[in-house]
Amino acid sequence: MAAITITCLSKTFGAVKAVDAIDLTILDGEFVAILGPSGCGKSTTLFMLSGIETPTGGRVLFDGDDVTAMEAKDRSIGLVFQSYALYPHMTVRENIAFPLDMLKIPKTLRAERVARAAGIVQIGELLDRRPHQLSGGQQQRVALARVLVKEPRLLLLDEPLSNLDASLRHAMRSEIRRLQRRLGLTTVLVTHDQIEATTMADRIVIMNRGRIEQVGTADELYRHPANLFVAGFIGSPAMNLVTLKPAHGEIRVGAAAASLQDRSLASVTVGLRPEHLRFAAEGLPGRIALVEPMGREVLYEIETEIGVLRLLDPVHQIRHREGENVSIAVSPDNLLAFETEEGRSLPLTVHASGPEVAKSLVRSESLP
Amino acid sequence: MTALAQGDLAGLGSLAPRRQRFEAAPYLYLAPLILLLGIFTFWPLLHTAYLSVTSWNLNPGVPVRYVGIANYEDVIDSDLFSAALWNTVVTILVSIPLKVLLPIPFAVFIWSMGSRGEIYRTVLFLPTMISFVAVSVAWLWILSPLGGYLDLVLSSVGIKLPPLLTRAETALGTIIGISTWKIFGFHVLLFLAGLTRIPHRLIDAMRIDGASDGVILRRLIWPMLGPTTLFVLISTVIFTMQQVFTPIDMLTKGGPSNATTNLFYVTYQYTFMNFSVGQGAAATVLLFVFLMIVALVKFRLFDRFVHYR
Repeated sequence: MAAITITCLSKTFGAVKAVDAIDLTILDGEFVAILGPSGCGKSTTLFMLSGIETPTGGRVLFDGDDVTAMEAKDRSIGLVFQSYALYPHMTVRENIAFPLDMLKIPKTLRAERVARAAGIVQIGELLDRRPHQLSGGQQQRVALARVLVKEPRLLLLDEPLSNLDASLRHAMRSEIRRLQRRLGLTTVLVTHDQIEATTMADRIVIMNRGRIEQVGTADELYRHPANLFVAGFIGSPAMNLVTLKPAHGEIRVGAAAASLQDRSLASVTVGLRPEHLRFAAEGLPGRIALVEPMGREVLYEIETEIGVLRLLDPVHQIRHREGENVSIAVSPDNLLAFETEEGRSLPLTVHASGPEVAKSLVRSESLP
Repeated sequence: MTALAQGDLAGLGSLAPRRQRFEAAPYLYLAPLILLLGIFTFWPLLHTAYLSVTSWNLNPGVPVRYVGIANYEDVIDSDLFSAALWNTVVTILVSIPLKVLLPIPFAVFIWSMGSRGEIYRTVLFLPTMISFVAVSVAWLWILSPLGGYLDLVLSSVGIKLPPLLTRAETALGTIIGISTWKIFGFHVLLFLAGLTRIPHRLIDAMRIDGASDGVILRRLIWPMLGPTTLFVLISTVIFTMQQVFTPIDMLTKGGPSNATTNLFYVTYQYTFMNFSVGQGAAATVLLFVFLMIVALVKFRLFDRFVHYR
């Protein structure tokens, strides 16, 4: 097990800065997910932790020891590749035993450890097959067993679930999480799937264009996105972002109002999560433009004076038809504000006064 | 009934009962190929078998005489044929390390260089594209002990170039060397193609698992090149004899004292140099048997080693 510190880590490919001077600390036994769109540098970061890629700048420390120049084979890490990278000419048993073979572990001990690792991921009966005779989920388990068998101090997972079908992905997600907890393995997961990141990781690192946008728990990222990128990236359906002109440092959406610290701002971007908006007797007037039933919930697209807003209604019946006039309310606590240009989050002070606000606060509590 | 059935089944063409009837079209499509194979492969095969039990000297005026297995006895007993068989075995045994195994490290090296390796690939491949007749003439000049290029180079450091092609001890080795030089780049190219089947992630995975370059070569690259190696091995065994026909004919004519002939060249020697068509045909049939044995071994090997996709 290891604690990991990376400082000012960079990787450039020609003129392209894949990873741009990032700093990150991962605690011993922690499960961290690196989340971001494709090409954001998340896999490159993972490969630099593994030693496959050599950084062009910065340092990687394992438990305080500088491993930046250390070869991959000496780092005692396990990496599960997106493609699993099982050796096609070896049986499952030979695949799992390979790292032990390299560590010169005696034959008798080797068989025991292979059996144990195979048992952990429940593939004991597949040991004599070859990779191409296995399903995607089974190959994934073999890849995990091959990594676990050498008892690494750091487990790295590169989009390990992206080649699995939906139900299997769900099952493997909780299985990997349970395994990680039980073994207390420091784990770094790279993914572009926010559900994967939020359900599995203790903390999430949001990356974009080679830089870290924010680090935090799923809850922190959801409630207090540090900037517009995180606000738009986390949450599904995506957050409504509308540009408003504050009046005397105050922003107002229907009856909900909040004050900005900086009263001089001419324009701010306000974030409204679709699940925080609801239909109300009074509020921001609008007209239903589109109704999208999603099964458990219904997503409405509503044209309002501040722009088109999406509202996620927890009632699964369609309550309003396209073309109908409605009013929308939001609790002022759920308002988020960002600098329109820079995208940085702006602190808001909620006005506790006014009966409308009080009423909407009560209603928001009753929402699931 | 018929009218009704037709009406009902009009939309279900494939379900309608169909009479089995002779279809001429497939045979028509196959006809050109069957004709060509018949004329140029199967008829000569049968005719060779027939000629091998006759005596004839290629002269249309002389009648063909049936002699039974006498040609086979003559050929098997002759010094020429046993020299050819021996040279063939030696050539094959020496060719395996030179033409099958030696290209592998070259291919791996060029492969590991990525796009920078292209120049070496091109240079190595060049001899493959030159006509073997031109190659033979060039080597004849290079190896000439009287003012040849190699002689000039060696004499500048005080070494006298021996007459490599006219000495029995060195002639076969020289022919094998030239044929290796000619085919080497092509085999490197085949191995490079085989190497592209190995995903780079596998090498990364092995490296993380603690493997050194040597281990990666032995435990990953070598086994994954198995199908390519086997293919190169088989084609080397089968085609080396054919391949060296041109340099033998251009450089040594099978000599000196039968040192460079082989099972392939010997059929030419019997038929067109000795004008003994029957003996040439008998040697050809023996060559055919030899190649059938090689093919049989090949199928067995493929079953045994090429066991994964």
